[in-house]
Amino acid sequence: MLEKEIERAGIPAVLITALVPTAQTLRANRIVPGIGITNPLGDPNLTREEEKTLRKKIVLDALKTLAAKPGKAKNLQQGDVT
Amino acid sequence: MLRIIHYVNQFFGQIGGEDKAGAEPVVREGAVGPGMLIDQLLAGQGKQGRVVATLICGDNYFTEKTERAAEELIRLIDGTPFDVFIAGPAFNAGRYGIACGEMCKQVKEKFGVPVITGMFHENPGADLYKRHVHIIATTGNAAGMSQAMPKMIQLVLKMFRGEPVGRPEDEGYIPQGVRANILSDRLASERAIELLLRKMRGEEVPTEIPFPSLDVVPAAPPVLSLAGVTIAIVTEGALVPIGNPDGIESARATRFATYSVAELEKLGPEKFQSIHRGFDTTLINEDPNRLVPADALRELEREGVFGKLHDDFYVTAGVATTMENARKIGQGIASRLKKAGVAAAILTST
Amino acid sequence: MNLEMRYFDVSDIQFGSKTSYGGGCLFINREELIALISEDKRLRHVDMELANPGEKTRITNILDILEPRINLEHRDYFPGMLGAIRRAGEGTTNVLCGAAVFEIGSMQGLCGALVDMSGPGAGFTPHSRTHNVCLLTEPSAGLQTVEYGLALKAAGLKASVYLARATLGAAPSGMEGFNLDLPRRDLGNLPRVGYLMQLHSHGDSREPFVYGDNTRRYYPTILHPNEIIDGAIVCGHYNISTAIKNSTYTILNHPVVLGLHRRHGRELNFKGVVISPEPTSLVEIRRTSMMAAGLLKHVLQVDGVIITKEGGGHTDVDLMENCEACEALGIKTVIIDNEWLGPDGSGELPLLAISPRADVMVSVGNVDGMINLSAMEKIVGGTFMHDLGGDLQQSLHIPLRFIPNAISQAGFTHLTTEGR
Repeated sequence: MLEKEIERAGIPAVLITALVPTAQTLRANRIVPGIGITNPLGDPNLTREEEKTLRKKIVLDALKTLAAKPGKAKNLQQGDVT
Repeated sequence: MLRIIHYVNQFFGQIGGEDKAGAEPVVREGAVGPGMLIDQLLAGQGKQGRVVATLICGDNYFTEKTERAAEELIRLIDGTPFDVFIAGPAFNAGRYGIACGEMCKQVKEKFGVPVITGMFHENPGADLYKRHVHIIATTGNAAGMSQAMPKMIQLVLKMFRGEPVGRPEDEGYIPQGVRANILSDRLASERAIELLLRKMRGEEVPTEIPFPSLDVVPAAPPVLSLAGVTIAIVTEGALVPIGNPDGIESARATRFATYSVAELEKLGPEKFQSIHRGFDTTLINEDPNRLVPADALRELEREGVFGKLHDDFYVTAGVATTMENARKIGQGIASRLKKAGVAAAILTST
Repeated sequence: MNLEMRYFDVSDIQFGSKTSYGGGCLFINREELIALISEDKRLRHVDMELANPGEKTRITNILDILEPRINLEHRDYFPGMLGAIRRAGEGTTNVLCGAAVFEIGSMQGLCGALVDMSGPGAGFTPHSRTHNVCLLTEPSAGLQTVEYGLALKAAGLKASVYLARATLGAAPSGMEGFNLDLPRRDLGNLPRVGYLMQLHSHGDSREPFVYGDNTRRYYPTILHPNEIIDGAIVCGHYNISTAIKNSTYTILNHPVVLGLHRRHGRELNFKGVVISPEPTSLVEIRRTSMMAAGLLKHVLQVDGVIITKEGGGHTDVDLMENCEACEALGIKTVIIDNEWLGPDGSGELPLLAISPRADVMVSVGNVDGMINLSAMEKIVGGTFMHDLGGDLQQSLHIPLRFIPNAISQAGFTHLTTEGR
């Protein structure tokens, strides 16, 4: 999987996906939960402004993950950070 | 009458020992060395067939000049009509094993005939070629010749008759590590119900899909600080310019494409749409930021949370990709990132 | 609930002056059926062809396959979709056994399938052995894909009931009763088994219909098995591959439901079916699996369950979540699923999510496996398919996943994998 191949080359990579169990099965190292399969970084139930705020939060989590040592994979819910 | 071409190295070809490992490719009429066992076994089974030609090449010559050696060897038999190709067996001789594997692979590709060889499972040629050609599992040295050769002949004859190759444990070849489609005598639903009733009775029941052992990649060290670093976006959601100018596959991807973040920011859904076949792309096509979060990253960049958002983003389709292609694509993207001095990557996927 | 199926075996289909059934032959008034389907202005250039087993015919651009059926009491079928709302699974249903209706059409974005009535591809689908009534259609100008799918669905359902009317007044070849009500002593200590049927719910044209409604609006719920084999659920998938959806024919002849039903009172106590959507976020998936497992454990009170899914790799997540939720409650699970192994079968990861608790899985084959098909004399449905290209009458080397029920996530196939 892409995340592992990029890490294999020595570049830290974090995967944002709604399907965290799949990423865990594939042994991805850095995972941040996305919102939905058809909308990993969006939410049609919110206004565009609210969506953007939520998107920024998830992306910020992702950036922090790149700067932190990867933790063990655990039972992640939306909003958890690895 | 079955016409066989046999490949052997300098030793089994009776040219010499290690001192003759540089021997150039030659062809001899009829059987040489272990090829005579092939003739005997066929005659003994009452089958019409024999070795019509034997190719001999030194192990060093082959492994040092593989491309040229193979070409020369193929040229030597081009024009000789034959039905099957047998190489070795090579037992545990590594260079010989690689030569047998490569020759089988090339003959199969160029002439489309059934091919067979034999090796000890630890022979380096086994791992390299087991998926390309069938390799009968042999003992570690030539003492096992009389067990190996009959199995090699039996399997290659089966392939010649157009019969499907059976299980590794039945036919005697080194497992290729693939799972082939076959037809069971019972419906899957019936097998499932029977297995459930047995499981409920407390029996140990077999599974048809084994739990895989997966390759673990140690995590790359984190960036020491986000300040000043360049971050790139990579997506498996197949977001491409309308019209898909680079012909990115919408499933079963074999490659990736590179696009400009600035263009995405400027033109958004007017220019970019997702062609991913694995999910409903409506929401992403309304606002591509929902897949490639350029707007969020640009704001965080302006706020100084990290150094720079890389100018390019990388795109492929993450549905039904084979592991091999995923590896190829990943390595391709990784080398682009390295060249561009990108410190870390954010991947997005459905 | 008591359901009596009356089977009218079809050994031949022909065009005739009047749609009728007699001596095993289904005669079809071609003009009448075409006129019926053409009433829907969303379709144009409606035509019809017949394909019989053994013919050197290739049928392309297949979008759904149905079985001609009619309920005697209401003179209709597919309640909520075509017929008025009523409960499926009770009363008397006539089935033209051995016949099938094919919805055929082509549009960018719709995923067609292909059936060979003879040759190497025939053995991978039951439909080389059914007598097939092919409804050939084109979309009206400007019609969107979702609407075309709905128009095709209406056509398939209408044709199925229209043809089944020919059985009214005829004598059946055989009958079978479906009734789970047995005295308690007869069920005694028989193992209590359920079936968890995951239904795709990823959007328009990617979902089946339950009594006419989209699955994504549902929580997990309980259905009587009779409802499933009597038209409560209809295939509504037009833009996903035939390999990862269940055709209407497959659902009507559901092998797990029929297999459990036919063993009820003998080898097991079939407690019922939980149908469950496959949502698109992990939070929803976890809620759904928690609820589904609860229905199985505390309401149906089963000790063992067969679990099947619909859809691509995403829904392996649902499968594993359901498996874990059931096993955690002490319900033993057996899963049926296909594998994703690449064309050479070398893929390292057969499923996109795997749990160690999924210890018994039945494989319905490698969805990427290839097959060689020979050239055919006749083609029905067009020589071009968007996913396969043009000139389909010649010999082909294509993935098996284009043949209906080669891969079957409901288990309606003999295909499986073995190590090589």
